Amino acid sequence: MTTLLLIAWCFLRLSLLCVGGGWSSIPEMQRQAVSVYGWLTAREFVDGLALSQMTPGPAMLVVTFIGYRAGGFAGAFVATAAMFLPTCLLTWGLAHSWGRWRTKPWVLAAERALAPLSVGLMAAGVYTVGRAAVTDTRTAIFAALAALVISRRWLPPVVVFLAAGAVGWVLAA
Amino acid sequence: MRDISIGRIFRAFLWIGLTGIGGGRIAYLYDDLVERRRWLTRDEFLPGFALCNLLPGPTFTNISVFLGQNLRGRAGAILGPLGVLLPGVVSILILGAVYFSFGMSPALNAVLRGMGAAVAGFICVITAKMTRGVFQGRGRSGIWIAAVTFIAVGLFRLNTFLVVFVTGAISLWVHRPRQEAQQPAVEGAP
Repeated sequence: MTTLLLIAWCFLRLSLLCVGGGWSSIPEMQRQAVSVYGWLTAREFVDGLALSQMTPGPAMLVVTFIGYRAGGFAGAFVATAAMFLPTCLLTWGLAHSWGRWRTKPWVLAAERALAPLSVGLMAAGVYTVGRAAVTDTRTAIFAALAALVISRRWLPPVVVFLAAGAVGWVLAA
Repeated sequence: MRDISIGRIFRAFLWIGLTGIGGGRIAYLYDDLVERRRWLTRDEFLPGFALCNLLPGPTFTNISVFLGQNLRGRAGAILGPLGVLLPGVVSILILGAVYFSFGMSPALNAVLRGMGAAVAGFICVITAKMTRGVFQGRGRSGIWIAAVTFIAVGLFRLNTFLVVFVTGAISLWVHRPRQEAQQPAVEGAP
């Protein structure tokens, strides 16, 4: 029971640290989970990050992985709820009001003002993901082929990812 | 609010949650809800994305709340984040259990690397689609703001919150409502 409370408290604080996307909280998450509470080793933390990056859903689901290690299925549930629920409620409050304010000139101006920012953020995401994933000729060919197939809509994205995973596995074997 | 049933909305978010692998997950939401299903317009999608970067918490679930609320009020705001989380929670629990029993295998690593590269190609395509048309009728300022945001977050790896806060304030000033701009037919609808 105390473990579950500690898990809830730890990830609740971490969720508030996630400003500007989840990555800003990763260093502190590692410090808390590995050094302060000793729920898992540093190696397990890094592997958990890699797994959560490549499983469906947000990368922040690494908290589910840590919670599971710390307190089994109950721990996984508490960690996930503490990470996602409070900030979702906060966003809901904003989304709710935003919808009602949408007729005001300043809110319409804000929508127009925010659109180019989102494009810049997406481009930054492409750069960051690309730098991590495209490391040699083989991965560069994979990325280029995937871009071609997806932009022409020859196959749905998920089929392309699974195929790329399978080919990567065959080539490595 | 649109006439889309709760079941369809939940299935859409579940599908996005299930197929959204790797980085740049916002691209999946955009591709599915704006490009394929056409439930939302780009002009509804983009401001929400930037706003969610100003709020604490993981962006992927925050934007799901925002889009869900846009689609179907409170029910959408609950089902959106639930849908994108559920498949991931189940798969990380399965993989986690396997990992803690057997450790990380080289084969799994090779699969993940192959998929990661394909994901990079995917989000590149979606970002290009998203960009098309955003800068029309805005002069050069929008391009500059997007470029500065990209350089600060992508190249210099500055904290996204700080960057959005500062460039957002500048962009808001640039796009501030002007008296003459409020008359109809001055600027074409996007």
